[in-house]
This record gives sequence, structure tokens and C-alpha cells, in this order.
Amino acid sequence: MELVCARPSVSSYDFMRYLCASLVKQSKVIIDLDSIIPHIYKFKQNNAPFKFMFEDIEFRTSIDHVVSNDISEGINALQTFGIVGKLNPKYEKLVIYLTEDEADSILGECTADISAVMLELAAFF
Amino acid sequence: MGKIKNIIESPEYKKVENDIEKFVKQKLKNYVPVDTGKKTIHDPVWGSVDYLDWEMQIIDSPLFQRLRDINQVGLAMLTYPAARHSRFEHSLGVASAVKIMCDKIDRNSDNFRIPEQSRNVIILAALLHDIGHCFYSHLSETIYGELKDFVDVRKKFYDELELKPKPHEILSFMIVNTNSFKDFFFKYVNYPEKGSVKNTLFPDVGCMIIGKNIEKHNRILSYQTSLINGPFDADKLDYIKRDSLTAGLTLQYDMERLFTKIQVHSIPSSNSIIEDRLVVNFNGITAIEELTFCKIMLFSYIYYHQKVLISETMIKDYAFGLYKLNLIQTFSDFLKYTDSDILKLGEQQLGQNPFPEFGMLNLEELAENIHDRKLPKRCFEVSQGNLVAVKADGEDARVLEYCSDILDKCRDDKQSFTPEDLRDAMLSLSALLMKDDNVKLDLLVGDLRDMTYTEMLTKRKEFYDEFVKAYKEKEKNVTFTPFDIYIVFPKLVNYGAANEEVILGKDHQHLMTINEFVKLDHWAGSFNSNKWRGYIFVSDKIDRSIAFEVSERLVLKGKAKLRNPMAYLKGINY
Repeated sequence: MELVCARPSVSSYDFMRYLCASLVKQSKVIIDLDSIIPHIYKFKQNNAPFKFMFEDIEFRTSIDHVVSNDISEGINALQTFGIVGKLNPKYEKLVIYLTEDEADSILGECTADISAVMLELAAFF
Repeated sequence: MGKIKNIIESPEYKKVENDIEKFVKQKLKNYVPVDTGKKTIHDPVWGSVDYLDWEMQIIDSPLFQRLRDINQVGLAMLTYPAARHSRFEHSLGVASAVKIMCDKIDRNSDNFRIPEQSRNVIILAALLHDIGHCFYSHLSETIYGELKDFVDVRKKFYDELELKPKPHEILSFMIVNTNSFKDFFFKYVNYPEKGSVKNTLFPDVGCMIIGKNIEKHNRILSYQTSLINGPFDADKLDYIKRDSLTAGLTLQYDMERLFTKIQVHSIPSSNSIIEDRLVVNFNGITAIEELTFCKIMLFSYIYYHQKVLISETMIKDYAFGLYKLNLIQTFSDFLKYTDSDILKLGEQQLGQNPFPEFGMLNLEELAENIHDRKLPKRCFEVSQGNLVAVKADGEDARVLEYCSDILDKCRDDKQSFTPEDLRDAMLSLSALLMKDDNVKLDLLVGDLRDMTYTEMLTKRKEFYDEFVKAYKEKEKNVTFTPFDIYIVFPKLVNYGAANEEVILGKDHQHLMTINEFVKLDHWAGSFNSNKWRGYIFVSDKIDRSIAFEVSERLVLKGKAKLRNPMAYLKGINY
């Protein structure tokens, strides 16, 4: 039998990597952690054509709140893999450790479409 | 309900469902439950628990009994010999836990009681939440979950609900919503008032299993879903206790404290919808911290133990091999073969090669090795803690250039460089300097993580080619194939929802996130980071010292070096 494996076109981890790289390209290296999920959710709601990029990111909405464990875990994975750090003591800021060259290299992994959308999203921060 | 209907009627869903329907029909054929009345089942975690007649009729069904032969923790028994408990006792345990939780909610909540009908739905969902598990539990879902037809179904769930249910949750959803299961249930099971819930019961049960909130009469009944699939659900409460107990680990959380602090809090909104949410009183937060800690420790001790990881990777080769040879063909085959059957299937290989382009994969031998615990050994290990960066040329110059750029901006009025900007720039510079000797692991191992099986095969072939070159340089005979090399880079631990507003404040009005009290996701994330390891394993057909040298070169690419490999790798000449 032919073995055809598949997965979402952009994993939640890669989504966050591309976003970090795009932020660095816009000279934004210190980000307010609390702003990340609402910005991404709002962007997703207003950009239906790019829905395919969010396939691996689950948002749970209740009456008054939107949360995404995938984004929170994506950020923690980036921390584990050395791309970002969180500032003490309240951890309310995210520091992106990528250089411009590294950001270029990461954005080089994705298509021009995705890269353009990510830069657009980064502009919200 | 419209969205659920869209999913169930979609071609993607139907394509897999037809297969599941056949399986359920076969399993329930000739099963006519008898009314045994109430029974008491004794359990090491929850004590003696009473089950009503309708619960027993489900428990006694062959579909449910099948869970007895599906190990709860996959192949962890190869490392923790007593960890042989199955999905059967876990499912009973989850039902026991929700019964206790429902009682506690009734006692603890201000002006809220769980209606009898809702309580029954919750217990039913608890019993059936793992009914879709296949051989070796989560292990098999990493196999069928990658198959294209299944990914398409999962995408359908996402498109309609913005949820990403786990593969076994989708199979559970499908099973309980098959006509065969519903026919059996409504014909034979003495479920109370079943006539009035005929059209909604199983879509609701399915929703709770996949984590979707149910909405009825302008109320969002999120507490129902949270009890089955939420930040402190009955599933977690059971598996943390049960898995640690059987593995012989002394992991404890204060269950009694948690139970005295849970309640349902009703939240009104402007559009006259009310959400009934499962919350924890603020002084029960330490129990949540303990629960999170126990979960991470379980991953560290059991699920991500290097021997458990490698045995599970071997099973992946084995199962994909069976699939490629048509020995497992359908999703119903994944459900049909349980732990005791699956390792026997390799006998039917009859010399065929599932992946000829990558060398011979002998399924029978592989099954024997798994059974006899003849496991490959680590030849390389990588983590954030065991690497030191090799400083790139020109890095100091880059720092000076950065400083000079900031100074220029400060001097230039037109740039409108504010004190805020300067503060951020300085913080950024400090961060850069602090990270000087740390490694950006992502840039080294990014291509080794999150691979599908077919991508993994290609990557193993790349390693194999380099191993062969090294062997030839040392004039040694090559007797191995890419299937003797295993690249194991596990995912990070998912530790829960620290950002969900589930903590009820002192005033019994305001809800807060767990993070507002304790930075749970940050400490859990940091802990998690320190525990994460990626591995290269090789079988005994490969010289581990050569494998180490080649792996170090391929993984670290000259950009980092290991701190002290001999501290954790035995038997390698370094």
C-alpha cells in the first residue's frame, strides 16, 4: 500500500519561529507576552484566506477570553530551543535572540506568501 | 450542532467512518447485555466504586472489554515492569473520578447543582472517552494520525470547530456516533430517559471527548467538557495517580484539597448567554501546581524515558512496515489488533520488504527484539544543557557594530529614538551578550524534529550514508541498514492551560488565570526545557563510537560542542 503521510502545512512551532524571525526583521526583539495570543487571534479572524497557516493552532474561546495552548507551548518550545528568552521577574516580556541573518535564514524556509503574511502579522506588534 | 453535523456529513469523515462502522458492528454483533443491576468494582486508585446497571451494560460490551488488552502506557513496561495497566481500568477510573467530582461540585458551588441528566452524560463520556484507543495507546495514534485520510478528517474538525482533537479522540467520537453503537445503546442499554436524548446524546458525548463545549438553552455547559477534557479533568487526575502507582513512583498531588476547591461558576455575558464553567477556588491553586509538576515528572520518568522512547520508535517502524505490506490496511485494523495480536502480525511478512529503497526491514525480528527487550542503545544525546556554542567569527565585531548603531540613533534627533527605545535596545543587547555561550538548538536540530515517518526515513538514509562513509574510511564491513539508526527527538511536554480563567477569586465573583497567581506556564516551561533530550540510537550492528562521531558532526555541524558526553553515554570512546 502506498504510504502517504501528511501534516498541517505550518506547524504551530514553525508558525512561532516565522513570527519571531519576522519580528526581528522589523527590529522588534522585545515583545509583550500578553499581546501575542490576542494579536494572532485577531489577525486570524480578519484574514480568512490565510486560514491554512493556522491549522495547527487551536484557540479556545469562552465568553470573555481567548487562549491558545499551542501558542503558549510554541513559545516555551522556542525557549527550550534557544530562540527566545523570558525576562525576569514577572516574565511579561519575551526577548528574541535571533540575529538578522538567522531571521533571514528561518524565513527562507517558508514560501514567499507565508513570509509576507508573517511580516504583516509582525507589524501589529 | 450545525458544525458537528457538517463534520459528520463531510466526505472526509464518511471515508474513515465507513470503516469504523464495520468494526463497531462486528464488535457488537450478538452482544445482548443482561441486566446485572448495580455492581461494585474495586480499584487501587479510587477504592470501591458503585456502577449502575446501564454503566455495567456498556462496561461488559466487547467494545469496552477490548480496552483490557490495550496498555495504558504503551511499552513503558519494558522499563517499569509493573506498568501493565490497561485503558480498561483507566476508563473505569475516569468514570469514578467524575462521579466524585460531580458530588463535590454540587457541595461546593454557590447556587449550582448538576442536573441528573447532565451527570449521566458526563459519566457516559468518561466511560467512553478512550474507546477509540488502538494498540499501545498513544503510540499507535502517532502512526494512523499521520495517514493522509486521517489528517483530512482532523482538518475538517479544525475547519469547523477550530479545535485540534487528538487522533484517538476523533476515533472515540466516531465510534460513539456510529449507527451500530447508537442502535445498540438505544435498544439495549437501560440509560435513564434515553428517549428524550436520542438525537443529541452522542454528538454531545463526542463533543466532550474532543474538547468542544456544549451549548443548550442559552447556556454554555463548559464544565461538562472540562471534566472530561480540560485543565484539571478526571482523565488527568486518574492517569497521574495510576501511572505513577504502577510504575512505582511516589508522585503525589493533593487530590482531597483539589476536590474541596472545585466548583461551577456561572458567568453571564451581555448577549444573555451564561457560561457554567468549572473553576477552582483561589486557595486550591497549590493542588493545580502539584498536578502540573506530577504530570511533567511523569513525562520525565516514564513517557520520555530513553528506553521507552526507543521501543516506541521501533514499533513505529514495525507498524508502518505492516501498513506498507497491507497487513494493516484500514483504520478498523488499527482498532481490531490489540497489544497481544499486533506483534504476531510480523510473522506474515514472508520475506517481503516494505521499504526496498531503504534496505530490508525484518518485521519478525523487530517484533522479537521488542518483545525480548533487545533495544538499540544511545550513541548521541543533545539538550540545551549539554551543549556549548562554538563562537562564530566576527561575533565581537557584530556586538560593537550593534552598540555603535544604538549610539548613532541616540545622537540623531530625526530618528525620534526615545528612552523607551533605548531601554529595549539595551535589554536586547544584554540578552545577546548573556546568550553568548548558549546554543540556539533550533538552528541545529530544527530539521530533526516533527518529521513525518516518510521524512524520517529520508533523514535516516542521510545518516546511514555518512555512517557507511565512516565505516569505509576505517575499512570496516557494513552489515547494517538505515533501520538500525533511530533519530528520536520527542515533542515537548504539554502541561496544561495556565492562561485559562479558571481560578475563582476571594470575592467569589472575579475569575483569573492560573498565571495571575503563579507563573505556572513559565516555571513549567523552564522545567520542561531542562528535561528535554534528543537522541540518536543505533542497534548492536553498528559501532557506537563511530556512530557517535558521525552523529556529532551531522547534528552539531561544527557550531556547538558537547559539554561532557561521557557523563551520560557509556561505552563510547570519545
